[in-house]
Amino acid sequence: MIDMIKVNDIYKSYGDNSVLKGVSMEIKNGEVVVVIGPSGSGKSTFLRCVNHLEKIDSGEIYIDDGKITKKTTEKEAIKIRKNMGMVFQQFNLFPHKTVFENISIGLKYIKKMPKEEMMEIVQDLLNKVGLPDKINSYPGELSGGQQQRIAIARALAMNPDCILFDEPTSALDPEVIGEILDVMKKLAKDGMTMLIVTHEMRFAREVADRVVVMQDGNIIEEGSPEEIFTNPKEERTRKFLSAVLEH
Amino acid sequence: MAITLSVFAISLIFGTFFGYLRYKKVNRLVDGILGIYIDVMRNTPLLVQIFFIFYGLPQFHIMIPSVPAGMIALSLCITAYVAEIIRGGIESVPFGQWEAGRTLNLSKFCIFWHIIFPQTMRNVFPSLINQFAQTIFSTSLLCAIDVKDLMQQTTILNSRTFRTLELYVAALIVYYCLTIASTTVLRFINRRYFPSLSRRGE
Repeated sequence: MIDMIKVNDIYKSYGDNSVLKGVSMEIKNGEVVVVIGPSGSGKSTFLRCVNHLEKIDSGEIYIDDGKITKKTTEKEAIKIRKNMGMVFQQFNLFPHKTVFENISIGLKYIKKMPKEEMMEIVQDLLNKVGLPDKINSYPGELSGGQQQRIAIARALAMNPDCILFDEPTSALDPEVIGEILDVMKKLAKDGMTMLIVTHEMRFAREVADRVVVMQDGNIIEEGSPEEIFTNPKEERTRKFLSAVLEH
Repeated sequence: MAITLSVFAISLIFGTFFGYLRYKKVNRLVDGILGIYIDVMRNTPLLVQIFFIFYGLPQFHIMIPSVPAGMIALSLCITAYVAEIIRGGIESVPFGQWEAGRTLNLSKFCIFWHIIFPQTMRNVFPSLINQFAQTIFSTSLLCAIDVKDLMQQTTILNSRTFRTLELYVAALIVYYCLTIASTTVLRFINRRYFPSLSRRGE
């Protein structure tokens, strides 16, 4: 159970290119936080640091009693990722496995669950994401929107308290973006803690409890969607929003 | 043929292992040694390697009879080629596959064995079929160290009968049939076990 994620002053750079320059944030249980900002602002890197896909250079991330620092190893990260799922921009489904095998892989190899039990859970999750009859399909047979919904189901299978979404709709055709956002809205309503990097401003406005604006590796502003979208304090936020919302 | 099969099996096992080590770069020393080994094997003629093992090593009082010596030489060489094929195959699997496995908390071994390796095999299988054909051909070089393979038998017969053209045509035909037969079987296996992943027919 994740009560709180607390990010304290993290730095990250690739060679000379510093991507995160002292980012701090708190996320409470059940909260939906949306991170927006121009590309190259460090949003995705920030998200990937939270579950230790990227090592941080300094600072700390507290997840309940667990802690990520620059010394955290892949082994220690396992405890942190236990309650945390992730959904990628490119879905990253396993192409040689069926939908059933994709979703149940963690149940099979980590929880060593018998097949009947996995069957039940997978069918349940597929109903939840609106693809009840795709259990035996391969990812290559599905559309992008369907693949991403399967990826969400896969993240849900391990029963996480928190899911990280890394631009979940950026690789999708406009007409299927809605189906992903609907699934995410449902999750938010069920009380899932969510940290979302996205370019979908309407979605951010509708679903987020809090919107965080990043630029050049810093958080420049955060607040309720109402505040950010109608009355941003920062000139930079205003510029970014008007650039995005014009289209 | 028995030599071909056993050499290829040995090469496949060690090649896969070395290919994985090359990909992982676990240890600088191991990586350096493997790098030199693969480099030397791939950039020198096989015939010279065979002579080195069979005629060269006895100077260090390492005497190996011709059949095992030939098998060692071939295995060493083919392993190097297979290792490079496997390493390339692993690298061609998108990095996101590793990351997806990590976010699901699967162990490294589990990710490699159940997610990365099957996709690697799918990618490299056609190259491995070619390598198998190469292995069949390279056994013919072993006649130079007196291994009684097809080539050696042909040469012996030739020195008895002097029907050179007929004999070598016959040898060519046998090699051709062997290679076609075995690669056809392998291609069938390829299609059977690694069907095309995208069946949407867009």
